[in-house]
Amino acid sequence: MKKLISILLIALAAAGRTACAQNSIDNAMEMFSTLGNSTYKSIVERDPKTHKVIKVVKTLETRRQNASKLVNAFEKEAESGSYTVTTTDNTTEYLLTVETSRQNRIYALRINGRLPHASNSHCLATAIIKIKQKE
Amino acid sequence: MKDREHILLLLQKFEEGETTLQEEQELYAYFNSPVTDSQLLSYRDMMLDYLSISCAAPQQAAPTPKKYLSVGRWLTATAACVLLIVGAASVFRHLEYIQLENRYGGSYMVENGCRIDNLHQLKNIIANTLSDATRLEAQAAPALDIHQTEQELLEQISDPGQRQYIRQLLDE
Repeated sequence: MKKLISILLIALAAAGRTACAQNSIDNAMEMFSTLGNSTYKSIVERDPKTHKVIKVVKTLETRRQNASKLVNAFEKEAESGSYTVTTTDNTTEYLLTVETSRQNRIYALRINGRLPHASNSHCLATAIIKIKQKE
Repeated sequence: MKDREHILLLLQKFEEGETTLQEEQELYAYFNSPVTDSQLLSYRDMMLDYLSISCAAPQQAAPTPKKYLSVGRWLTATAACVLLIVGAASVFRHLEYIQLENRYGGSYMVENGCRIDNLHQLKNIIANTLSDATRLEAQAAPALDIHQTEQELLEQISDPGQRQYIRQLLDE
């Protein structure tokens, strides 16, 4: 019985952590959305017949100087889903996918430019929340 | 004498087909009145025959100039067309907005601290963003499939302890 309770508590803690962990990337994106030299988009796609939300896509395009905080948020959430980091010559891409019973979440962060003060350096964060349709 | 010369001149012009209407009427009036000049008397019957036809026939009305719409009517017609076009465009734009609201209601953009909610302005941005999102979903699909497979595997394990152990192994 004690073993069962402890397992349940661990499972609840993990679920709670997951729920909180998902928000840190969203929170970071929203925090930067109000800054200058940033463009934040929140696109809601709905079923035209039922008006229910099908998908939410959020993107944040900001200066590379802000990338470190976004990277921290991604690394903090790495354990909550499938996490990959891909580096090419001039670009680093972070990808985190999480699936829950109600939604699929995809978080992506692309950082262009090696040097933080390079004129063409910027980062693009994308969050896709796809609501699972009930069959 | 003067009259006779004048009439003779008109007669010559009449024969050559060069008389004006006024001149023909003058000839008709002269020959319709008692003619005393003997030289002109011989022309009287012939001229009366010719001139009675031309003078008796109702003068064809000079072709009336085409009636063009007055400036006022043109302006009214133009204003009505413009109003019709503007009205149709407004209705179309309103219907388009309703469609956008049904499909993308709640969407917005913040650029350099300024929020934009107008879906007409955002229409192209919405299309491009969703297109990019679709590409990203395709890129992330394999990872989601793996995760789904792991979940299905874990759900098949009835023992909670074993399930937790395997979950830890998968997470490593």
